[in-house]
Amino acid sequence: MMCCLRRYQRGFTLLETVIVIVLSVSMFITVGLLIYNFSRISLYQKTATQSSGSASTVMREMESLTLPADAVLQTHTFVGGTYTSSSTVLVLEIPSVDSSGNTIASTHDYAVFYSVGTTSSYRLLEANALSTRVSGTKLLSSTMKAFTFTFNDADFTKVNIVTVDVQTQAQVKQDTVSDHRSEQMRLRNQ
Amino acid sequence: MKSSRGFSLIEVVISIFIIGVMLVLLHAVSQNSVLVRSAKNRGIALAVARDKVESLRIGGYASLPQSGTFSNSLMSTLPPGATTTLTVSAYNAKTTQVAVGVTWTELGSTASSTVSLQTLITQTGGLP
Repeated sequence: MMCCLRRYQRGFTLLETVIVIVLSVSMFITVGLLIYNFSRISLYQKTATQSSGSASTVMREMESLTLPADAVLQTHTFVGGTYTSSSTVLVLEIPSVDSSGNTIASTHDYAVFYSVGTTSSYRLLEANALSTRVSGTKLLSSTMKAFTFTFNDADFTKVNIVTVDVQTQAQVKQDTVSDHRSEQMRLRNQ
Repeated sequence: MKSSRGFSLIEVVISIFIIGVMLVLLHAVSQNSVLVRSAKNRGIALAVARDKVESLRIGGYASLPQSGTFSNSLMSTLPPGATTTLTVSAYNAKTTQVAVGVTWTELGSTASSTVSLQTLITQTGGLP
């Protein structure tokens, strides 16, 4: 008994070593695949959330400025440059509001929605000194595929309905995540 | 020698624990992708409903349609079988209540989801 016990504990047999190696390799492969898949799925989900989130953000931002606007301007000169309304640029004139939410007579805030390059869209707001709106440039989305405006009249002074079409697109390795939103908005103060 | 005849309780407990944690993680990830997809569909449905409400407001009281359904090009981006509803009912003599709904069923789910918006449209004092 003593001799057998000692011989058994001298080391591992070849079979045991092979089994241990096979088991540990397959476990590493399983865990590695699991981690790889987790990170791939979470990257995909992050991109998808950002894509649909930014499409919604653009729509809400458009509503917050287009609905209170009183006119779509053909062209307006901002501090940073002059913007002209077209199918990809929207220049709005919005009555200024004071801290209690009332409009201030004959003062206006100006806003422009535009794209730089093919994927980045911005909103530039230039508020009157009396207005409670905050001036500034805001990046709306950096995964834009199409950001277009359709007007109900060729003459900008008569435009009172703007149809906004937003398409965002992002690439995750081989997969493409895309989002499409479209809404019409009636200028409430026209 | 005696201990190598089988697994001890502690070994079994630990391996069950490890397998359980992995299954929970896997389930959490797959659950999360369902959430992401349903959030996206909800956003699309809201855009469809808002667009319809806006167009009804623009049209005004006189040209309100009958109850029924309506079409929107974005409906094709919702799961197949998504439907729209439009309910137009009298609120009082000079006011109509309009309810716009978008209903869809997530892929692999049996329960349907709905986004609905309501508004009142009056005979006078609507959008200019």
